[in-house]
Amino acid sequence: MTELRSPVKHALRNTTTQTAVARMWSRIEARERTQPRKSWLRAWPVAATLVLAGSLAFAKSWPRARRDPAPPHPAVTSVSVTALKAAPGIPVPTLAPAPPLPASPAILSSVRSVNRVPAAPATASEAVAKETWRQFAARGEHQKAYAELGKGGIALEAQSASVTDLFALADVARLSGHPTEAVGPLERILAHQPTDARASLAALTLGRIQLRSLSNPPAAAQSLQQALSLNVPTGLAEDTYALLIESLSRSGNAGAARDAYSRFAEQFPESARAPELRKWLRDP
Amino acid sequence: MSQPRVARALLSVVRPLAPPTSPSRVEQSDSALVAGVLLGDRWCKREIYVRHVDYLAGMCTRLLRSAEASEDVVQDTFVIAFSKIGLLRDPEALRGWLAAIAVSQVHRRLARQRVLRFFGLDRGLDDAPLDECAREDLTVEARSELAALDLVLQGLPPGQRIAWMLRHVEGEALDAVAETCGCSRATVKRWIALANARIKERVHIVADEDAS
Repeated sequence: MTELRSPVKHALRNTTTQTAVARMWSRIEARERTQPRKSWLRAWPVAATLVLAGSLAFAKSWPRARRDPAPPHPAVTSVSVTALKAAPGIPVPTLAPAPPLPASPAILSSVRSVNRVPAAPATASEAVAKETWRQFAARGEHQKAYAELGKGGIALEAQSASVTDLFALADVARLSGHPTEAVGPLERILAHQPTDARASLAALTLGRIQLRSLSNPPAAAQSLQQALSLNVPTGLAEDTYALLIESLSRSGNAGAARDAYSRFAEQFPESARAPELRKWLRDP
Repeated sequence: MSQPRVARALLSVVRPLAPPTSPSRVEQSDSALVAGVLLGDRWCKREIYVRHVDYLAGMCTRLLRSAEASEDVVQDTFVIAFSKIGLLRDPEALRGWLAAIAVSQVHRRLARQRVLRFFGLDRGLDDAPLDECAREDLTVEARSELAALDLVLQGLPPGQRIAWMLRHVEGEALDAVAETCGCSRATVKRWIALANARIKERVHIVADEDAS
């Protein structure tokens, strides 16, 4: 994650159109003309309905409450008992203290698993090193982070890393010039956390690495298909299709590329990238 | 509503906003425009709208992640503002006052959305997540980062999310964020710090550190 700088607004475009501005103004004017009358007209039936519903509910429950006062539930709280005591003439049942609930073995085991303390690092220097690569990565110093992890360190760290750390490890690998090592953490996300909201982003990143850095279009096509099936965010769908069409075309699968293009054209009929993508559909 | 009135309303929907009639009036300050509105000048009302609508609509779209919901909030904001403009103490702070009204409306809308979603009744379309609002020339990588940021922001409590977005997406000063959110500077700083901690867990964005 290197390209965004705060404020993020610099990366965003103005989404308000002149048509929307004119439409909103006409509605504001219309509402200003009609607002006092409308609010009164709106409030009156709502108030009348509420009063009627309240009266009906009260009338329905009143005779039953007088005829058959319900005994207090054993699980009544101390607050309601105090309220009953305060009312003269009403007998207050004495409540035995409720026994504690027996702890279910299943619950206990799940609590134990949630509260499980992670294993302490073997040495203090190991803990410092673990922190250090994250700090370097957070500062965008991916070369230093990679050096801290050492050769094969990314694969080792990935074995027990969270999704967030797996993304960070992939970033360290690819942005320090070791794209091959970025594949492992991203594949791990897809294999072990396919339901995570970021899984589609992992698939897209993996596809880009396979296509651009590793020159492996068939694998890239597979990853990009997966990104689309995992519902890649709408803002990235156009880019994902573009990469997919290129991957399929470069891997010699012209038919699949044409299918992908027709899906792309259906979803983005006015895309400015259509001419650029059509050239991948031509026979070599 | 009589028939001619309906016809006028329909025509006003399709008619674009006319350019300002007198160039000399364009240079009027916010306080002069507020004074004009208080005197019943409709031109001043429209000028206030034209001057601030882009800022408010953009902000609300990003906060609500929906252009459609944003339009409703912007309309409510201006209707409320014009009806209560007499209560505005410092007319030069009009923009911040409008933003505060808009943010309170955003809060109300989000609360209603939460209730409706709980009952499975919300059919609103989140058509403007951050990655969807990205500039055309932005790289895929930067778009991915925006998408990841959007996912994290969705999981934050509304107060924290709005404060963080006003500070780091809209680029507002801390005092302006506090005023817009209707709380103290200390509270806003705490919210932004909490949001920052959650965001830094997942997205690495180089953000300017808040000065004390």
